[in-house]
Amino acid sequence: MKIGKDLVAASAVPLVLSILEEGESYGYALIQRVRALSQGDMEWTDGMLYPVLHRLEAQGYIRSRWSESEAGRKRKYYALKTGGRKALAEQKEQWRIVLSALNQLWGVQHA
Amino acid sequence: MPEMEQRIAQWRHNLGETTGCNNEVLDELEIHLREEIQQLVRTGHTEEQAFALAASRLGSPRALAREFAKVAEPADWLPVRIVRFAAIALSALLVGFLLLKYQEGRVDLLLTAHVYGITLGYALSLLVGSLAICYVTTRPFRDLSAGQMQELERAVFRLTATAAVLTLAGLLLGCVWAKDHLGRYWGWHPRETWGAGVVVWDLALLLLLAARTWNHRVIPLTILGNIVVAFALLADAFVPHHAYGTPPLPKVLMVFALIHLFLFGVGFLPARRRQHGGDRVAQTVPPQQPN
Repeated sequence: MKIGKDLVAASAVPLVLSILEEGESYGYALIQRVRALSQGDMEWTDGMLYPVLHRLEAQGYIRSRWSESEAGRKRKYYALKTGGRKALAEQKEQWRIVLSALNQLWGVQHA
Repeated sequence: MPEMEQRIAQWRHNLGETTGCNNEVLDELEIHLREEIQQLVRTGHTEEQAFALAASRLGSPRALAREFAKVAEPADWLPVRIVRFAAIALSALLVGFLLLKYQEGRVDLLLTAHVYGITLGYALSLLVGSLAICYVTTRPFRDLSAGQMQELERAVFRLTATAAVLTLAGLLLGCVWAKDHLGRYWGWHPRETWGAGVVVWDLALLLLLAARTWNHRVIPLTILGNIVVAFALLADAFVPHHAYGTPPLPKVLMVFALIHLFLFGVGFLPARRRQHGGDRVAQTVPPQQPN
């Protein structure tokens, strides 16, 4: 099942911040990780990721650096900053509230 | 392989033309495209298919331009600050000067408002052109950041809109004044005709700027607005036997126009890359390189 455009857009920031919480990464790898996590149901237009990354960097949530991989490939790597960790903590709390509300309405039983 | 390189170069060129993104952003997108092509080729696609699919997954240049425009945070650029200050200072000085003349009884209210609208409208149009000159002469030495570009686009749009409104208001008030004093609204006097030309020019620029794509090409176009304004300001030079009509004023106007045409041409020079580690992408990331 494909996820709607609005939900994909709304979840972009928490997804990017959460993946970067696992460690430094770059644009292409971020897209692949989202595809793998959603088993292909969450389709991003790849180019849309970069404006999000640049905005997060301008907001001081992440930082970037150009680096060369072992295979000699130049890539722009992004990493989470302290401000980004705080923003992610807030995002997690907000999404938990939304999820909890929906679970109650839909009668999902927790283990 | 050379064919693939040509395709990627053309794709990058189109993307840069449409989005106005700086070289660092283009490098990052090109690296992504190359990685996607490589992955698709590994999974059995031909190079041609892989390129088409990878480019489509990245999104159309127009869609990307819209997305990048949404997120770019305006960043300070000195010429924009100077022009903003100049616009406010000119407006205040003009108000003071005209109020003084009005109090002295040398001009009536209608003429005062007309002169204010036309003078400030022309001045703002010239300031827009000056900003564009700063832009085209800076780019070959140092490309503007996305935020600076955003700031420049906003300033150009707002100044052009204000100039169009003021010039149009000034022109209409001038028509009313002409009816009262000369017995007709419009007489196709060069001053009137070129004044209308400035309004049409400003409105055309606004339409192009409102589209929010190709702005890096529209902004250099505003340099040509200086020529239209110069002709409007010195329109009397085209009236036979008028004091301003004596040579060499028309020649001076022609030289002014030629200089501005040259500066407009400078706008087509490529921007200098901003320094970062992703330079020379094509040479460092061959499409077929395995991980």
